[in-house]
Amino acid sequence: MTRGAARADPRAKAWGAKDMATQQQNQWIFNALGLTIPGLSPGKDDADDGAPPDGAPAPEAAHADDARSGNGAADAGGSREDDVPLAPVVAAKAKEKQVKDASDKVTAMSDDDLKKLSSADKVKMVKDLFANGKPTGDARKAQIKIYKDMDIDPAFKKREEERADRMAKTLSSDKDLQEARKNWTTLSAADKVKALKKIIAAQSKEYGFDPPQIETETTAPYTAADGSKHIVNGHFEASDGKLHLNVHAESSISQDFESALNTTLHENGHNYQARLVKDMRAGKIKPGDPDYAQAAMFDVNEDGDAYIPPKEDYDAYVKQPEEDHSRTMGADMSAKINKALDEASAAH
Amino acid sequence: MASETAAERYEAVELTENGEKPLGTVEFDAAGTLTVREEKGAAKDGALARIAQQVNGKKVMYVEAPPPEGSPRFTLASRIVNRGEPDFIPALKNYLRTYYKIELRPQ
Repeated sequence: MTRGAARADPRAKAWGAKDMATQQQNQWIFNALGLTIPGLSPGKDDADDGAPPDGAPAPEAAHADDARSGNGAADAGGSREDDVPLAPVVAAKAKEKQVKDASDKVTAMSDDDLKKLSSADKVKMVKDLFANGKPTGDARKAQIKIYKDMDIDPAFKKREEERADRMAKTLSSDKDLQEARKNWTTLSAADKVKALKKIIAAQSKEYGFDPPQIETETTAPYTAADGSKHIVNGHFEASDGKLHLNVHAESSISQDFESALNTTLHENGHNYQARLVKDMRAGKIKPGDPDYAQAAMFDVNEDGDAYIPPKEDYDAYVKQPEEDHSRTMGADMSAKINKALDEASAAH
Repeated sequence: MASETAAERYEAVELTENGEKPLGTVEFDAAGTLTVREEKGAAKDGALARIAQQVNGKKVMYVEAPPPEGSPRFTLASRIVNRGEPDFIPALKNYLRTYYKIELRPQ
């Protein structure tokens, strides 16, 4: 069947103008996307009779099922069992193309060029890579490459540094904290938690939310694959909103004030990120908001499949937006607080 | 890392937002004990000596490591490095850089 025959038939009447319009739209979308569905491209249908007859206007798209099955005018008037809606197929193909285009673009770019892109561009590319669900293969590699070349928004980082300065100044005069720092290993777990609660209260106040509860756990060290001794320090649990800290006698929380500070600040940083993402998704953080650029990076990193687990790629795990922020902020805040406490303590 | 286990001298430099500040000269012995040989500038108030005293009291260093499989998201884990182990001095140098913003440069 030719398109000319279709017009002569005229199936447009039988299908209804709306159906024909949909087919035309689908064809236009295929053309725009550069996609070829067997039997649907203009070249195939036109092959038997060349250009449309009678100097007709641009040819309409043939019905996809006709094109695939060879059915023609004979069944044109009724509903057909093999009718397959094209819209989902088109949408799926469009998503595949969106992922492939983003993946190809990232793969072709040097790390230097990728680093130079704005955070908004990088966020957009990650979203494109997720257009069809969790990326796999080259698309997942592209996501990892973007994370490795994504940096904390400089203005956001500066605000974190300013928060650290204010916290260090405020906490330095706390005599209990000064003493806790000096005698950390001799304190009970309860006294350690009491000291860490002061740190968390100061940090949470800076972030503008109530301090989370600290849940202590006692998890023994374990032997890693290489035979060395390891121990978990803690984690932020989004489902209960608490900081879970390991106070086992051999843990860093128990043995080292500076590490305890860092772990606690780091984990409460994840709490802050979750709140920024929530606010952004609720429309409370909009373009133009000072936190927008960083919140957008946390947003694309937030959902389960977007977070790179350590076993998949350790460097990407450390550098992905949520971990990069917690590591950078945790180390900076703990260094400033530690130094301020040291100097204040020495001054007395 | 064998060269770091022998008593070696380092220049201690504080890394600040406004640049570097020389603090003095320190030495590590094989066990990772830090001895201050000279204090300069800002460290003349005994800051370097206080820091040395603080870190010399540490029996272990904690080096960040991947958490065990199956850990909840956001879990932090460490490898425990005991004083006297080959990785102790590198871990201590990293510790000074992280928590005191002090870099030790071989002299």
